[in-house]
Amino acid sequence: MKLSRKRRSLPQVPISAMSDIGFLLLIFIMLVSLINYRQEIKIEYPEAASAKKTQAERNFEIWIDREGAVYYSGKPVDARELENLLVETNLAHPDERIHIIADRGTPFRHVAEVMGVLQLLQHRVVSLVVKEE
Amino acid sequence: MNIRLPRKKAVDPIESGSLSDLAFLLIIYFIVIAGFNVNAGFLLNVPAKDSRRVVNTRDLLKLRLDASGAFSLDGRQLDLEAAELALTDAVTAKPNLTVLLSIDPECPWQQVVDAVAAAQRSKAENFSFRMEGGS
Repeated sequence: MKLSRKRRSLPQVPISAMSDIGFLLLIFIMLVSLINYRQEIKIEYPEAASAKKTQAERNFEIWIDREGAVYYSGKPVDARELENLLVETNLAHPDERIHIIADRGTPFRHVAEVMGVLQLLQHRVVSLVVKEE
Repeated sequence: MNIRLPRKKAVDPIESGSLSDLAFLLIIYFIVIAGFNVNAGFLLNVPAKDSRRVVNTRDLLKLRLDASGAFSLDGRQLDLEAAELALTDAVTAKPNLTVLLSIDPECPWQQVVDAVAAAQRSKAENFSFRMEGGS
C-alpha cells in the first residue's frame, strides 16, 4: 500500500491587513499632530537675508496683521489682554521667548504699540520674526 | 556536466513590502512638520520704559526712516544700500557709535526690518529705534 505523506505547511500569521492598519495609524498621527499645531494668522512675512534662528524651548508668539490687529494663539487680543497674558506667562515660565510676527505691510505704529507693552513689562529679549530670503 | 543546485525559495513570513513605504511616508511627514515651527529673525534687547542713557553727541548718528521707506541722514535722502554704506563708514570711524533710528508711524514693517538688518550687518554696537512722535 502506498501511503502519501501529507506535507505540513508552515504556520503563517495573516497580516494582509497590516498595511491598512499602518495607513490608518499614519492618518491618526497626522491629525493628532495638527491639533497641537500653532494657529497661524494669514500674514505675509517680512524678508531678510541675515536672519538667525530665534526659536527657544518655550515661545510666546504675538501676531500682528496688516490692519494692526493683534493675535495670540489664533485669537484676537487687545492691549490689556495681551498684557495679562504676558504677565501670566512670565510668572509661569520666565524663560519664555517673545516673538513678534508682523505682516510686512503693517504700519510701524502697531508694532511699536506691542513693543511698548513689552517695555512696560520689562521684557528684555524680543525676537522679530522674518522669513529667510 | 551541468549541475543545477536546487534554489531555495526565500520565505518572507511577514509581508513587509508595504511597511517600508509607510515608514518612508512617516519620515517625510515628520521632516516637513519639524521645519514648520522654527522661527528665524533678529533678537533685540528691549530697554525698560523711560530708561535713559547718556551718549556723547559726537558718537551719535541720527537716521530717519520715512513712510515710503526712504532714509534721511543730515538732510540727505538715501536708499537702503547708501544708508548701510554710511552706517558702515560711521561705525568704522567711531567704534562706539550709537545709531538712533526715528521711524515714521506709517512706515511698513518690511522697511523697519531692512533697517535692523542693515544695522546688524554694519556691526553697529549700539542701535536703537523709536517711533517719531512716540514717547
